[in-house]
Amino acid sequence: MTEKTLFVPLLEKCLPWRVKDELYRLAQRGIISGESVNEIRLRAWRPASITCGGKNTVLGIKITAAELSECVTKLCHGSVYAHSDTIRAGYIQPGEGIRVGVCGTLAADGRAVREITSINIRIPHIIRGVCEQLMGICCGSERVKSTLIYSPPGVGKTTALREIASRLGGPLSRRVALIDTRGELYISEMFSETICDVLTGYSRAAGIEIATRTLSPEVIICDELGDSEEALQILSCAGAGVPIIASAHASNLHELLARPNIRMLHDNRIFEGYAGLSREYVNGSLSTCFSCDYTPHCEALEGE
Amino acid sequence: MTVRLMGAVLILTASSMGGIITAGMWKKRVLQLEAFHELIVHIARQIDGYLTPLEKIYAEYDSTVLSRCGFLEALREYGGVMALEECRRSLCVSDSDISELAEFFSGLGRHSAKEEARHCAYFERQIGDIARKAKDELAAKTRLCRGFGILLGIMLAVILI
Repeated sequence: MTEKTLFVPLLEKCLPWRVKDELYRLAQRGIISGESVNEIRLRAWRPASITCGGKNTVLGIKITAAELSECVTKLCHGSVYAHSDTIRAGYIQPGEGIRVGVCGTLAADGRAVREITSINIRIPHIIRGVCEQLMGICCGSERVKSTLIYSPPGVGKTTALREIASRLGGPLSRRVALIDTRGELYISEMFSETICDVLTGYSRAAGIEIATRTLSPEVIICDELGDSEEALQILSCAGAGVPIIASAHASNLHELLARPNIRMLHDNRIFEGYAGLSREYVNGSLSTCFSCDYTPHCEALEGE
Repeated sequence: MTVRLMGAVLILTASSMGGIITAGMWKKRVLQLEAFHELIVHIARQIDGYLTPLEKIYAEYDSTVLSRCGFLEALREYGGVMALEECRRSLCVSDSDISELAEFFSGLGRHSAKEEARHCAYFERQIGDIARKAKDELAAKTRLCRGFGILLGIMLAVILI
């Protein structure tokens, strides 16, 4: 981002010009800045909105279906068909850590999205130094500790994982296997001087298996654990002695351990501890500093 | 008299060359239409078979005819519609041919693979028909242009003499 542009070149190119004009107008009035915008939501024939520091701001613009379609085509780098699989799964991976959630009408045969009606562009921000406490906990000793990071959506699990991966694979020179299923973790600017191996687009289960068998990693990092296949793959990876740092959605430890697949991993002592991330609201906006509430596995057991 | 004779020879030569060049442009049109048809076939195959992104298709495609007129380079840099505008002067195809091609490129990349296949199949037929018709008419047009050029040259030469 330069002084003249609010966003990364890819977004500057893709956003409808009316939305861009409005955002620049708000930036000139000091209401927003490039660093404060976390999400841009575009809806066909309905108001566009942005999320800054957890707060929603409705823009006085309704883009047309054609403008939305043009934006989606640009986000797919001119080849929507090449992203059919991910669009059907509800997202687009434009690259550079940008995540685009997709809403639309599924075709009757379930094989394609007939019409995209809204998108949510989640903008990554490179925030360095946010994970000192977490780095100290997971990576303070010679051996990396398997850790599960949890928080509600939007707090910054992906940002935290990104920084941990770049620091482990960079200054600490660890062999990191980064399983980047949705293309959200890897940003070239952060990883250009690291020795991380990045598996983009692989399912977490397949990525973990490949990493364990062929990449001889010192640590595996992946985002948003969820299903049983991933949990089983992590169990086998743990058997190979590879620590794993992952994230999951949950508001608190109790809610986290109530999920059956996470419970299975907990019962098998896969994770040495659980780190709950949070950010406070400062002056009505989310702070850029993380607070980390770490619970070692043994204490989590005692708490039950 | 010598000067008039030389002038007459020059006029005849220039007129004949004009006829040959015009005939050459018709031939070029046929070659370019066939090249565009091959490009559309290639794009359709890449999308249908491999879901290859357009950027990669354009980057890896090679065609002597389309490279010579600068279209391939412009396609890689600007995309299809703008490339047609950029190369309008160097292309020997008609305005209606360019409209058809612009319609093809403007609709490319916006839909699912199935719809892209339908889109490509339609324009494959359209451009293929135009190319075939142009090729069928080429021989007659070539003879006409050359003959007209020579006859015009002879007529002007006679008038001069």
